[in-house]
Amino acid sequence: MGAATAAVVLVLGATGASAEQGPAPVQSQARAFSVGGMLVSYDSDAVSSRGDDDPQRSFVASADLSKLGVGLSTGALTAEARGHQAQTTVADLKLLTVLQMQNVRTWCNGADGGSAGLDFTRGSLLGKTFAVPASHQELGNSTLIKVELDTVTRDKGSISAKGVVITLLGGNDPARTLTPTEKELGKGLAGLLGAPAKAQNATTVGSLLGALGVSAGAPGDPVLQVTVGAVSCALEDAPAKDEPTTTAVPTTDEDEPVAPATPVTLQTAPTPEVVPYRLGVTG
Amino acid sequence: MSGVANHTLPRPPRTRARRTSRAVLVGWASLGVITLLAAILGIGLLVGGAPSPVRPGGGSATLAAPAVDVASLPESTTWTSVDGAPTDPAPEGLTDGRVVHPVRDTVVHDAPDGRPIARMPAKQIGDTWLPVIAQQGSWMQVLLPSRPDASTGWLPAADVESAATPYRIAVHLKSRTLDLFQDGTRLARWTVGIGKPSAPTPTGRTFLLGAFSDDQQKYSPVILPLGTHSPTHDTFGGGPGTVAIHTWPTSDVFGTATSDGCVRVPADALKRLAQVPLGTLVSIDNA
Repeated sequence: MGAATAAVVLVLGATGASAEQGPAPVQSQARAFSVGGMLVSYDSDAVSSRGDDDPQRSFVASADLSKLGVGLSTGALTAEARGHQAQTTVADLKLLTVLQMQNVRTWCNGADGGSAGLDFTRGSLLGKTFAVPASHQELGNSTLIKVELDTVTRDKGSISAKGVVITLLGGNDPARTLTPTEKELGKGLAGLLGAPAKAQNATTVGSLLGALGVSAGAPGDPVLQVTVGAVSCALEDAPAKDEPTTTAVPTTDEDEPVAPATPVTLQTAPTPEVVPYRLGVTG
Repeated sequence: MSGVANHTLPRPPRTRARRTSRAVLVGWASLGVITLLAAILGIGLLVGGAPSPVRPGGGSATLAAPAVDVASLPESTTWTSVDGAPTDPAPEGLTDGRVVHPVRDTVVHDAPDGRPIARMPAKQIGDTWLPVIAQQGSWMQVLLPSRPDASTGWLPAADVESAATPYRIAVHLKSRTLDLFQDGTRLARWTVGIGKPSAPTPTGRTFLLGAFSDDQQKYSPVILPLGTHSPTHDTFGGGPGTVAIHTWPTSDVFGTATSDGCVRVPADALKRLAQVPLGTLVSIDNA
């Protein structure tokens, strides 16, 4: 079939986080991200390129993550891809006490025009529960750290989804004091990346960015992005290609800069037509 | 692994090519899921054509559904009551604006892959449009127009057309005001009439169910019924106690609690609200 799908359980990627501090455009490059000299890279992707007869699956136990010094507590991670379908699962996602989700599944299916999404059985951010969103949703209400759920994008030949994306945004005044929410989110982000304690104790934007080793960046641009669950599926009716049409492994030096994802755009619902009808209402 | 095993990739549709890989798939999927899908498939092949032919697990390819006597299910309309419908888990919550229109009469389930509880007609007062409050895989949870109030149900995504409404309507009972929002920005606020203490306007989130004219109800040229009902009137004026937004011939009712549950709005408000897509969320609170 020439179909191709790819799934990545955990993607830790820096988006243009230049080693040089300064106002360099953060989308000018992308490279693997490191903290304290630790290159975070997992052999946890699954790529299927020969249709339904080429099921691929990878599995990462939580113990493997802890060995790498990543402060992400999970039950287990799986990545599966087969033909035009792919999914990742995380049994129990705990980002310290900040973000907790259970049975997180990010999936896509290239059949029937393509569909993709995120589901989970329980989610809470800073102790506040949230439900499975109907579509893309942002949490956190911060100009510094953005938590996004269910980011679905599609192009001519594929549909992709990112389950949970935590983005550190640029352009914030370094001297600004972190809000309580940002402080907690910052702790979580630092913990996820195995950052030193000073990052977890940061009280200003500048001290947090410095501890994480990233630049201030331009306003609104992502200077650091962590993705849990990224999948991409070729559409079944798309022209067959010799090479996999999609990948979702932004952990190499050749990665394109990660632009803010655009949720699937829906058409506006129609204006209602007034119809003759008989219904007694409550006056 | 806990519940993760149940999220194994679903089987692809039974095409000739894919049947050859069945042995591989058995190893791929958990035994429980495969067994369930095989049962669904087996039954579905016998009864093909049933509504809601969506398999579990988030895919969008279709399998025939289990045998469901659709005709035996109650319709979910403003006139009916549906037993076993899940209650809205967040009656004070908002949505992202997604609304869906059943493209055919569709079976409503009490959970993704759950028990059939009702039948949602594609048309009731004009086209049926319902707000989506959650999604799980290829299933969408929507607010229902039937009693009891705050009922919800799950529809297979394959059976609905999706769209978005940028609008939201907020009715504040204490201040007796109605706000119209577009993309989160308030476009207008009107002083409105609400239900009297003995027949209060119910709180919670509901939606614009329709737009109709009724020559028997001359107080308003257009009536906008909501997907909610009076908590005190089982019937009213020959109807099932449906709460609606409409205007009133005299302006002295605005700012008062004198209706039997309906929200009475000025004429210019009605004209504006009648242009808002069906399915648009209406939040009613005590603010």
